[in-house]
Amino acid sequence: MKFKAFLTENGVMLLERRFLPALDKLGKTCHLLLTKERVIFLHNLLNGDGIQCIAQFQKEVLFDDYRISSQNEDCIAFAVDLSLLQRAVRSSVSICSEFGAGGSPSNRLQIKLVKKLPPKCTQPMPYLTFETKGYKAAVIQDVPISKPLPRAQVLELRAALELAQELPPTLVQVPDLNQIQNYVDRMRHLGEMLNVSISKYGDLHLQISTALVSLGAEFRKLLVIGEKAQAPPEDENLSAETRHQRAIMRQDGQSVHVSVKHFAKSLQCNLTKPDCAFYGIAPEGASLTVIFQFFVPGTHQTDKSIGLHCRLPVLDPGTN
Amino acid sequence: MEFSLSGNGLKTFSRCITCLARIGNELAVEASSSQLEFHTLNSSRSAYQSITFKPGFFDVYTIFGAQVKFSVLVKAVCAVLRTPIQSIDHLRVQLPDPDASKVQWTLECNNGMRKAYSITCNVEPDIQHLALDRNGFPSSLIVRPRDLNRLLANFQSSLQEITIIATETTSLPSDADSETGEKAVELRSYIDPTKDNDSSLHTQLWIDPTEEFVHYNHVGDPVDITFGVKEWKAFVSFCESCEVDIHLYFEKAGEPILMAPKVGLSDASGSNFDATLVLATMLTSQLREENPSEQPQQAASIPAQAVRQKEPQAQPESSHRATASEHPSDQTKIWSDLSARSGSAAAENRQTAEDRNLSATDLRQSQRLGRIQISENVPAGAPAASRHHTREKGPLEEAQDTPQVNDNTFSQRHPSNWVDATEVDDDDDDNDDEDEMCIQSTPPYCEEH
Repeated sequence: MKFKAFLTENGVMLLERRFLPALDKLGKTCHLLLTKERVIFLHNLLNGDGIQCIAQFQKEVLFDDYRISSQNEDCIAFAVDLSLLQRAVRSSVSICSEFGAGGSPSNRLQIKLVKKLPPKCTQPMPYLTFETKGYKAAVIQDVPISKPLPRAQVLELRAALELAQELPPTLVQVPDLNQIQNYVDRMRHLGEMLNVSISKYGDLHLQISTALVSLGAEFRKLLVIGEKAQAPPEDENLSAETRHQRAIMRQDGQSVHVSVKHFAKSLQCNLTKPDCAFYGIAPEGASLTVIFQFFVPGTHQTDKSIGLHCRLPVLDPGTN
Repeated sequence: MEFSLSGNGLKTFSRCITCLARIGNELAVEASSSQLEFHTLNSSRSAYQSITFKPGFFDVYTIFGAQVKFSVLVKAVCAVLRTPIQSIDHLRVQLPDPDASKVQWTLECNNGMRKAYSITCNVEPDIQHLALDRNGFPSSLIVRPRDLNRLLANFQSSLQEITIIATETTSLPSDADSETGEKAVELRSYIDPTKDNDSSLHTQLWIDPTEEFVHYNHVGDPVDITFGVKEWKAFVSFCESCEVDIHLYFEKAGEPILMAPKVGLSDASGSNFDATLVLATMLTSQLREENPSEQPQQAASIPAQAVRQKEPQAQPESSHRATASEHPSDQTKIWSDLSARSGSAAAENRQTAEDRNLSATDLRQSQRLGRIQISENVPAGAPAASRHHTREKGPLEEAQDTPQVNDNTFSQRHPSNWVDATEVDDDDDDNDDEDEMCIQSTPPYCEEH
């Protein structure tokens, strides 16, 4: 089992500034799945508890000279602590890009999987090692990782990944995540459960209800991808809540309850600076899916080499 | 005793208290007509800080009698200085008589408010003294706090101890790689073998002292020192806020290190205050790795020595050293570059390990003797630092020193010790076998024959 690659400048930008800080907020550790073509960060896919988050990159986006081999179809997966990974990347980058070191082709940020014997230990431990050499300094950062997952677990992870890729039938585009973040920051103190309703008319309705107070925000006439429908004109003058109830009755809309904490966490993905985000509810209200879209810089074309989406588990609101 | 402070003096005073509070719990105060001295010792007695103020530092400084000594809880003093410094016009501290049980701290605020605090003096003050001559240290470096902060940012923030490995800059091997040859100082995260280390980031950072330090002086064999990061960071913040560089004096593993602010051209001569931080270092040298079959041993509690030190690991015998030193990079090894080992070398390594285990027992005996000798010479309760100039070398130290005399071939700057050194690829393993994944296990010594 071998893995060795060099982080590209673009890879550094993506990981250090955008993805690692965001992923760190979603959970302390995640699985890193390396395949021949892709590098995938996966949160909570195996234990199934909590918010699931999948960030995937084509290998060329992050690395060059990417070499991987294992007897498990050239797939390697392990768990890694994101804050340590972030520290290691940040440190390596600072050494690599220090003053006077720029432009030297030998200043490359090498990342590889190694097994080393820590000082005074009897058991060699697996590490993801970053090696960098600059003009003034050189650094080696050994990020401790879990033992690589055995074949059965890698298969399980890949199966869960396939399952998590399923698109909801209706997706609505949210133009400004900051706005939602503002609302949720205000609403989160009210209760722990958030009701999310999405209709085929392009409406997104967020509401927190308690015994005494109910606070909601509605986004209307959003761009719809997938199954869409025309809003019936007679609904125009009704309240947001009634409209959504009617939409659900007509099977033009769906509604789920999710944890406010999970929802707020998923909004941390905004740190990755996505160009837009889509919300959708999986068939039969199985989960709330948030898909973040990235454009090729300078264009409005989707960058298919980067993918990020979250799946929020739905809560059972009870019988009342 | 009475003194009062305002303006910049008060700011500096407040910074001093903040720094002292990050080192120890008790603030010992000693006032004489020539100076006021604050010092503190941490609970594990591995860190000692002393700050002295000349009478000129204060607006008013009067003392009744020859000397006044008392101690208070530093936390209580911090509470007094919680009022924003900008809003304080002046601070007055009074001890009505040398045996008074309370010290009066009075803040006159700009808005006309007066805040008065009475801090109870400790009944049994534990006032320790530590005299260390800065000029007695063979090696030293001066670093800007900002640069040091930048260097420390490479390490995990929860790191407890750090190792500095210093080598001579001028003794470059003639064939040294030009790119790596100047990086004569290594900072390395110290991983406590007795703790669960699954979650610690291992960092090795090599730096070029001429680029990163204002001044660097180390001659002779490489030395390493391992000490607490928390106290170091406290002192760095203190120096940063005072806008002075840090002067770090050191000798070798096991000997204390001393830090002082570098004020102007010479230390503290032009300043009306001075600070000293003395930290104990680990006896264990990181330069030569211990055989993994030996279990690390914690230091038995020796109150007189009273320092955070671990039982030193066995130093390699000179016969083993001769073998090890054939490989030029046994100082600051990069683990991943040490994967090559033939079967015969491994067998030989095992044999050597057995020899070392035997010798380790003897050495531990020597070490205990050495410690007894230490405790006799140290006044009870004083940190180990005080033995710096008061004792003869213990038997262990002699044992440690002897092999080094014949060991002139050490160099951490061998090309194989660096990033991009030739890598040893191993065969593919099946990852189902958990013991055989990744790269082959790294032996503690790379012995090539």
